[in-house]
Amino acid sequence: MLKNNNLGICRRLMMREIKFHTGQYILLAISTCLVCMLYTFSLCLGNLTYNGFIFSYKMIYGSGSHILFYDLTPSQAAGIKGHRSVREAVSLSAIGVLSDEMLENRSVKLASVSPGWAKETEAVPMQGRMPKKQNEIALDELTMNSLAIPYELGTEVSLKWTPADGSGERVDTFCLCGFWENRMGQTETCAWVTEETAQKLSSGGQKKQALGVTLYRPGDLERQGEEILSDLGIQDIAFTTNLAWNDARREYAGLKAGRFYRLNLIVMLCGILMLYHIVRLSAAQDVRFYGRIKSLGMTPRQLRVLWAERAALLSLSGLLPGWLSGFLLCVVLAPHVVIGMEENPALYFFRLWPFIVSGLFTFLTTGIACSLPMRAVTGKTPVEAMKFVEKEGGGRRRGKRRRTSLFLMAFSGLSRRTNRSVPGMASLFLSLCILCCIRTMGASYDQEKYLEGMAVFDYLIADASATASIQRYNPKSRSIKEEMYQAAAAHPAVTGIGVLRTMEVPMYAEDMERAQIIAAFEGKDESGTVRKEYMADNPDWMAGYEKMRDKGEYIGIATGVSGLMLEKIMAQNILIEGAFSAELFDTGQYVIAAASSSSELKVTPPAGSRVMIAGREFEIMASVPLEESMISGANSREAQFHVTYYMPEEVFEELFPGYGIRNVGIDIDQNSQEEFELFLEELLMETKADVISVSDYQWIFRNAVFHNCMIPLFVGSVMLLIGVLNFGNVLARGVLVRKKEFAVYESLGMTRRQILRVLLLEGVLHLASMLLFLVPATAAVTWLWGRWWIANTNTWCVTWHYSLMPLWVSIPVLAASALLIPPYFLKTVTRESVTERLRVF
Amino acid sequence: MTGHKSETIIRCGVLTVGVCIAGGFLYTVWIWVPRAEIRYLLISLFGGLCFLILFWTLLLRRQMCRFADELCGTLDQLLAEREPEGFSFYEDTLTAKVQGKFRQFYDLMSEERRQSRQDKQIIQELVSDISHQVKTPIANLQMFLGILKSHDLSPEKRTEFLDMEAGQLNKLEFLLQSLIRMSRLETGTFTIHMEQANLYDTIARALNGVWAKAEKKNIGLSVECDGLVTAKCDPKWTAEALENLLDNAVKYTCQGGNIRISVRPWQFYTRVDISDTGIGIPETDYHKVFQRFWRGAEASSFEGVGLGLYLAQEIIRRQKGYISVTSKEGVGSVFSVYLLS
Amino acid sequence: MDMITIHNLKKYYTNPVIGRGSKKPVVKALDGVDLTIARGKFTAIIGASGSGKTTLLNMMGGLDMPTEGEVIVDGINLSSLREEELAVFRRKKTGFIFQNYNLVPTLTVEENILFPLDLDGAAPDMRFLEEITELLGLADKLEHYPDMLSGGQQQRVAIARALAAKPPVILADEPTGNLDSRNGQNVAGLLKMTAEIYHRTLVMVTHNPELAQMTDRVIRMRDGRITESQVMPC
Repeated sequence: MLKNNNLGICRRLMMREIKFHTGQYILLAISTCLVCMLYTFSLCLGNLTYNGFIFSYKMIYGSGSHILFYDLTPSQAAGIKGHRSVREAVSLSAIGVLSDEMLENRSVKLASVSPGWAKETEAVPMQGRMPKKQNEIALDELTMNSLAIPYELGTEVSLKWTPADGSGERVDTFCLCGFWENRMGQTETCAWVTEETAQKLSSGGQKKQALGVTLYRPGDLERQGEEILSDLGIQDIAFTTNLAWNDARREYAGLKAGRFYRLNLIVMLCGILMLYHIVRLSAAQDVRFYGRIKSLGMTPRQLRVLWAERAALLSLSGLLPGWLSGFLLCVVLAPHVVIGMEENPALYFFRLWPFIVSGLFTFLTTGIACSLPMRAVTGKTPVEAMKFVEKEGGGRRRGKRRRTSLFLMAFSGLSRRTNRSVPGMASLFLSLCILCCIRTMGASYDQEKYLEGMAVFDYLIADASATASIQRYNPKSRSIKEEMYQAAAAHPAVTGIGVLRTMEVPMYAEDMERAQIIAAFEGKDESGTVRKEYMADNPDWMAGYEKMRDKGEYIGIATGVSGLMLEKIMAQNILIEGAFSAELFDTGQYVIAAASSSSELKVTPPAGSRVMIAGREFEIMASVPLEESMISGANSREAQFHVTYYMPEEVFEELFPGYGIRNVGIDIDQNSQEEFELFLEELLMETKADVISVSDYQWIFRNAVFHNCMIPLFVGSVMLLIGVLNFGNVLARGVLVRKKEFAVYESLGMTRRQILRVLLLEGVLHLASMLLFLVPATAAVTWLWGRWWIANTNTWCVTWHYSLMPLWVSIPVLAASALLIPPYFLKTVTRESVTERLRVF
Repeated sequence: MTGHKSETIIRCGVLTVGVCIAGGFLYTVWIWVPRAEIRYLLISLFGGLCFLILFWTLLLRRQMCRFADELCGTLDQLLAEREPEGFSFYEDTLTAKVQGKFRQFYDLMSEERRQSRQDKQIIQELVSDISHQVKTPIANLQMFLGILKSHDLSPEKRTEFLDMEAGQLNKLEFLLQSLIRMSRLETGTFTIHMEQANLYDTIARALNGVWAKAEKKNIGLSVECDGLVTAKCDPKWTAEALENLLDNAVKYTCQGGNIRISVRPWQFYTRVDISDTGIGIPETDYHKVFQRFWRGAEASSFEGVGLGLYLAQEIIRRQKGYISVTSKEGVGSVFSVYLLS
Repeated sequence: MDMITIHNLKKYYTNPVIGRGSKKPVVKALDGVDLTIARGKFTAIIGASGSGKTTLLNMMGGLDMPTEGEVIVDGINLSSLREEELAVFRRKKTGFIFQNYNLVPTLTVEENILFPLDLDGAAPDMRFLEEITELLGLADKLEHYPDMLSGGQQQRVAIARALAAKPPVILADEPTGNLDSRNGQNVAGLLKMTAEIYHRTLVMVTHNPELAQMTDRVIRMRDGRITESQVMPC
């Protein structure tokens, strides 16, 4: 059936409606914009979180390729490259692996230049260039730091490496031609040499290739990898799949992002609630209007079109600002959500789909909200619709006859709209509860406690070879110079300074001495688990432990400490065994042992026993918990199981002369923090040493708190906004709707002042009745929830702090609107003369 | 013919372009998409799209055909002068819309047919009426003429007869005049020029015609009208209508009675009341007085043909006004003329 | 020929405010009305307020659903129509003049008058529009919005709107209710005249017996029933 072409009138009606009710329309448009903003924001943030996780996995994995195949012959490599599910492949011909022991936690391959591979793994020199000449080499900064290679192009570099063909370790000298910062590939990267150099070094032996493969469809990489190999009939080839495309990881990332996606449900609910509030206040009027045009012959189809056009126009007008503001909000907050990226994550992970989806959702939300009065009309005959009156609350209107006073008038005006203010009140209550709970939670997170636990020093300077947690400390690095320490110590702001040097020494423990350790690790804890089982995922530790258990040989880390370092070790004054005496310690005859951060486990040789360190005998004075945050970087793999022996710095120097400083701990006078930071920056400018400051920890802490509170905070604020808006709207409507009523009062001789007084009284009464409920209820809910949370949270850095700040802040806002809105609208309403208003139908 | 030709050319052109685009697309896909699955997917998508377009076009064409068929069906029924049946006029569709218009047209036509049949009948009655009305004066004239011819009469007597003849002639003339006016009204040949006319002048003009008669019957005439009142009417014809009404009033008012003309300018209509102290009209006859050739039971004793009020009403009605009457038997009647302000 | 036929029409309301459950008193707005209205005639329905005249008129206009009985307008039983068809019926077959005018406040006078036509997607007959606006004295008010007009003017806009789509049936609900007797006479006369000129069937609800005089037929109602149907002598 060809439908009638009679829809033009719908648009005209809609446009006129907008023209006549501009205020309401603007309010609706703003709300729509807000809704759209929320959708965009939460979807963008979800997308961001997901991609951030995937990105970080990629970083850990060290390559953008989906699958890496190792040890391929050229013909196999060619076969894989030509496979139908392979989109792109980059190959790497590694001739060997750098085998300096300082690099033992990492794998750096010596390979001939492969631009594709370099690009996938972001191993492209930023300083200098890729090798072009004989014997040139390009390295990453982490490797250079570990090997104490200066950042100077053209430096002669001697590298220890093991060729892939199985011949023994050898040392070759190269010329540094370029280096790059490690963004990806902290654990695995390449050292680039030219093709000719590679050929010369591998002396023409059988060259094996690694192949990085990008697939058409990155899903279930394991299966696809196997499929490729079985398709080509290749056997015994190892491959690894990209963590970023691992299903479990993706699921986890999805789970994290899901938090933000789920937020959309709340947004939709809030949005509908918000728009519905605005629509609802004029619902009776709208229903009558629809009944009226229906009685003149408007068909249900036309009504539907009117509705759809209205919703479309609203969403359209809200879309662009909504998108923009949502995205901007996302840009502002993104660095707090995805931490550790140089570019703004929101821009880096920009995708189009959140915008499209948020647009659709906005339309859906406005559609649902707008359809509510429309829904009320369908199924009603026009006569019923035209007579439609909203049911009003307060049944018992007919009381005793009393004299009318302003107060009674206000009271009856108030009771007439209790119905309408209920949803607004609900959203106010809910939002205040959420906000107060969040505020309580946020305030309960104790920064002092955290810093005390995490940041032992205001500033911790780390040697260049001990900046990353996977980087093995190289005592020969010496990037922290003695003069620097002196200069820092001389700075007036410094209140305390201390040095820490370490050296791994092979040691031996007698049966009696190791019995205590073995007893601790073979024993069970409260949950019934054998303690050593906790370390099962660390094979190096297990190996070290077993060696000690069976043969008594272990690695001891001789640690020279001075000044502040020693103070901090003893600051908590937790002694597992023995007693501490500063004078005795200073004599150099004694050491303090530490092995575990737990304050209960006895995992060191017992106090009083004697140990041989580098040929000198010491007596263990006491044993304390190991303070890991004092030391940066990693120890060797052998030393995963170790016992730390603290000794005075001077003694250490006597034992191991000429080694560098691992860490310098500095406490300063907080008043001159800025000045000192500038000084420190200048001091360390020329070196590669790293500083971890207390403000970094502060930032991390605040970020974590913010991250925890963000979503409920967000939802709470939006609901609060809705609640306040609704409150304002109820007040405004209360005036606008009664335009005629006021005219009647005025014509009966009431002065405008009296009307205003009634309105104000009404507003205040309304507010008071609301607060009467809101304040105790919110306070109670917050207290109960907060108590529950404190009892059940697994965070250690909390202290109970009860706060109702959002409630106290919102009360003046509500009060202000109760006092300001009625006079304003009364003024606009009374602009027309009494008779004019009386005539309005 | 040329239109048909150009349409064919356009159709051919569109087809050619479509085929070219499709061919180009397929070729491009075949050459540039390396993976077979994607190639087939694209081609099948394209095919599906083409199929959808075809389906849509066919659907539209079918709808158009049905639209035309339904309209033709309706027209056929209307041509056969049957009430159109089986169509849902109340659907919100284009077909229903056009059918509704047809129906409206048909109703109008049949109404007009009915009207003209009725008119024919009225005219027949009119002819017999006229012949009847004309018969009497003509017979009288013939009789008088015969008397004059055959008898030698004294000059006084002759003059008396001649006067009577003149009277009969006057009556004939009056009848004819009325007939002419009426036929002009009926055939719609008289034209009304609406203008904002001064009502006082119009009433004065109407009074001119009845002044003498009223004087003769010693009837008092009073006018209550502001000199500035205007109404939207054709002053000539309005005067005529008013004159007819006044004539009527004078006719049915006894010796020494009173006729009062009052004008009340309302916001929307201007009301001209002509109240007399005549014999009045019974309530049941209110509607009938405006019919052609109707004369009340008591009115038979008065002369007239029963056209005056009919003409007056017709004139006023053509000017988008109306006349109403209220009356009390034996006390008098009020004819109210409502003219557009 | 009958334009409107009404058969045993009943409309009962239950009062939602007073009473409870099954004890709610039933208001019989219409209690078995049989009526036929001839094509092209002017009929007046008179009666005291609350006698069910407006309800009857609403039923004729398809604005309300009867509890029982049927309304047949121009050969179509209204209860057989779907909601959509009823809407089309309303705008095509009837011109309704509401007691409270029911003008659309967001449309100008001209748009209000043409509203039923616009709803139908029909092209307005501008000459006809000119004629009726001229006739009703609205020619200079076309650009105004309804709330800028006086009660009488609004009434005339409502009449113009009812006429604009040239519907065969015009239903007027107390078209003079809010006017003084003088203007009431005006409006009724106007209705009569337009109905006569354009051959419309006209049903007018009023409580003013004086106005009823101008009609072809007067129907008296009391308590939801027709007590007297008097055909004016012709």
